[in-house]
Amino acid sequence: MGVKRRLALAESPEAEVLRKRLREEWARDEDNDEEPVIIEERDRPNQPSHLYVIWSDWSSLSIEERSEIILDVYEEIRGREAVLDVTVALGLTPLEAERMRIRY
Amino acid sequence: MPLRHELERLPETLQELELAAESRFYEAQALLTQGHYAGSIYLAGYVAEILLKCAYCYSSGARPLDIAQGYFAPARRFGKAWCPGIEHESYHSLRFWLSVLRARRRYTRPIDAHWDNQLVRRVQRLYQIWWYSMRYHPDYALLEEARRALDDAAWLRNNYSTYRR
Repeated sequence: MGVKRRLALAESPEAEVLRKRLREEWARDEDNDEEPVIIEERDRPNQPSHLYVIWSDWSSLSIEERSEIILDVYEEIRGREAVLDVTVALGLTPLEAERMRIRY
Repeated sequence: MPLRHELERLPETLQELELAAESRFYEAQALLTQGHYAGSIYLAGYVAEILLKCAYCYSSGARPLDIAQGYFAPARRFGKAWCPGIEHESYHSLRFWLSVLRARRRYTRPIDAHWDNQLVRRVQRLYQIWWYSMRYHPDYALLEEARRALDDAAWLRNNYSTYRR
């Protein structure tokens, strides 16, 4: 029998840096026009949340990686119950947001 | 501009996915009639995957012009909490999308029992025939399997409105 131990796939160093920076920005909870622009959208209380993070620095990451980072950070800040209420987590560069007509 | 670059500029909206499912369905039919059984199954499976994905997104409050990808990572979290043990297989698994769709609908508007039974039966049957990595295998498929896959995809397409809401 062979016992194999392996580490889970590590994320890219860029993703780690962005995760840390996003956590700091989100925790600061300031309303200004600087990036990353964080939008927490909810139609009504107790309705699912939509999260959009507009950030030029996303450009080297895939849409999927960006979504995972947003959800991880949101879970750290708002908790596990809250993250299960999120139905959209989208990380976009300003250009992508403009093409998709997401206003902020 | 090369096609890939053109298509990658904008992630797909739900409406575009639904249109793609229509195209893939007719292509699957064409391949079946030409005797390309594995190719037909491959596309029929994608029709089912797309429709289940879209139905899940709509059950989560999506609108037709929403970007589909924004819903995927939250669906994974939701699935991990409410349907543990079902792999999403890079978001291609029919079982995964069926499970999260049904779990989500239990909270919002449960699918009518008659349609729910049929939906589960069709998707489970197709799951036994199709998976997204089948494209790497040579064509071992039988006519009967291709017919069954297309029949299930046709059912999902024709009855989309019963589980999409």
